Amino acid sequence: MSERPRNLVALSATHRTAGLDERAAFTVPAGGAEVFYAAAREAGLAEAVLLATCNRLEAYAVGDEAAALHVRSALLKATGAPAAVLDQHLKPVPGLEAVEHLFSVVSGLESQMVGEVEIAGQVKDAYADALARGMTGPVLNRVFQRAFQAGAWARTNTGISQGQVSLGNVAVELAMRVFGSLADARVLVLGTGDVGRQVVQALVSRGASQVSVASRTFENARALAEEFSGSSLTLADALRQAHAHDVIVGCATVERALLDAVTLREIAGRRDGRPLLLVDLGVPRNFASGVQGLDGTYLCDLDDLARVSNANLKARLAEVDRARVALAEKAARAWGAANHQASPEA
Amino acid sequence: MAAELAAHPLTRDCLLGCASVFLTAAVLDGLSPKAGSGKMHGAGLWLLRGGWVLLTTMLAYQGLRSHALPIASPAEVLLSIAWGLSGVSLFLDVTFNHRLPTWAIAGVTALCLVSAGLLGVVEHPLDTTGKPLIVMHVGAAVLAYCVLGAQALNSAAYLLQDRALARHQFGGIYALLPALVPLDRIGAQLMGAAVWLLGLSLVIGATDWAQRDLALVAAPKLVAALITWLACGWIVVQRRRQRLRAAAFARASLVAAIPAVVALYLSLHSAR
Repeated sequence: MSERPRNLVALSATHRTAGLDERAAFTVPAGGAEVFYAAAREAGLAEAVLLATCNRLEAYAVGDEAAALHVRSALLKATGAPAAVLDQHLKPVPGLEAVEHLFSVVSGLESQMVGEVEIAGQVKDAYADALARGMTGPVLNRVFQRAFQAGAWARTNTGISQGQVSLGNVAVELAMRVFGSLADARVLVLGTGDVGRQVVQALVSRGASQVSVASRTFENARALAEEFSGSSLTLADALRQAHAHDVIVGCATVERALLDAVTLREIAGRRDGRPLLLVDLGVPRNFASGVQGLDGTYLCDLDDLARVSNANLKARLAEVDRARVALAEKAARAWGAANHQASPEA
Repeated sequence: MAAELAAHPLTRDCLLGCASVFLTAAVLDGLSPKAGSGKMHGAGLWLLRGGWVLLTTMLAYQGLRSHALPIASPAEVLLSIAWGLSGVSLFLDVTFNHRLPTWAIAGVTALCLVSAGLLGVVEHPLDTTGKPLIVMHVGAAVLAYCVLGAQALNSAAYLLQDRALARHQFGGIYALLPALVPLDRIGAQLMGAAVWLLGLSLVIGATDWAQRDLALVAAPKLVAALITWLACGWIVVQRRRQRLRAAAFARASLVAAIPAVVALYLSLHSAR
């Protein structure tokens, strides 16, 4: 007698339904992953993976409807978000659909900037974290590994990532619309995480020669700055000298804005009409949003970057459709294989 | 040779044909899917360059035909302005790597050419023989208006880009515009050049005026040109003092273009 095929469920809340400020409400704080996995274990879930990025909060678990409820409860504990807010955006995705969804996520098809490459690394990190905690098993191991292969296939064999879509590149493209060349622009990057690194790398590769990096942990800022021949600052110094920079990119993990509206107005006032570009890549926001209407000061956030990136999306849409069809086939095969492997007879 | 050429004046069809080259350039660039790239954008840019060479040839022909600088009739002045405007934009592109939107430059040039075609190239141009100061005066004025025209387009592009960035509009027409800081920097240089050229034109005109019949100088034209020059001079001084920068500078430049258009209109009128 063969065991009934295992089920998989995913719960997903993303930029598709939640605005920037709503997404900020359900970010996973430091230690949140620990809380999630503890709650999942307590609920008897054998396999679960938590994926939390700026634009999405997702969890994949092996189980049925009851498992979905346990995952929801674990997500609420991990984020500390009000249930009403999270439930408004949390969408359950069952079985094969969940596999297809994961394949699309890893390939960048579900990203705000369609085709972006960072998401693959973020999913890998999330999977590695779950693996290290012993929260993966035969189903999720198989599904995630196939998803990584499918993502690599889609990027190599279709044109979904044409133009190297990445947060760093799009932020630099935006800066070039203000300054033309970045050779003379003074750039300040707040935050030294993955996004901060990508931004610095993109800036330097496009000719920026005066890049300063700041972080709460000065050692991190110094290491990143040294790698790209930039200068490093403590966060306090950086905020004090913000007015001396032409481009300020915020990608730090914060609980409240690093530069509030009053400070931003003060900074803009000290620039004598010289343009100032603020690029906020943080969720929650690094910069207060109340500077619209200030002459020569331009504030762009993640949603704006997606708009810049997707302005040229039409050319890639045919490739996106082609990738979706191929990924659906691959997902079906992977799901069949995962179920087959998971059954005792196999 | 002049006598032979006189038998074959520039026809309206000739001017409209040249205008169609610029119009095609504007349409191709406007339809280009991505700013500053693509085959359509490249084709538009090369048509602009080719059109400018064609226009240069036409002006040289007209000059040879009339044995004078082709600035003696309204149509000729418009042709010279069209030539100068596209020439200044090509100069900025080649020298400063600053590319004003091809569709805008080609569109305005085509408009000038169509207007010149409708006015018709005058058969009996003004006799400027023995009046070198007048030729220099008109030549400097035409160049000044070309530069002011380029600066007006430059300023409009600045304000559009500024508005786009402030309102988070990144696609469509806004993607075709150059970056803000180069627009501002080149704008300051263009305004400085316009002040010098218009000043030179006014000084030469005044010298000629002092030597000849005072009644020959049309007062409204002189007043409009003086207002334009004073406005441009004020803008340049304020800019140097860093009191007029960025969007305010662009707005002021556009305002200064108003008396310039009036002065140009009166100049064309007096050239009839």
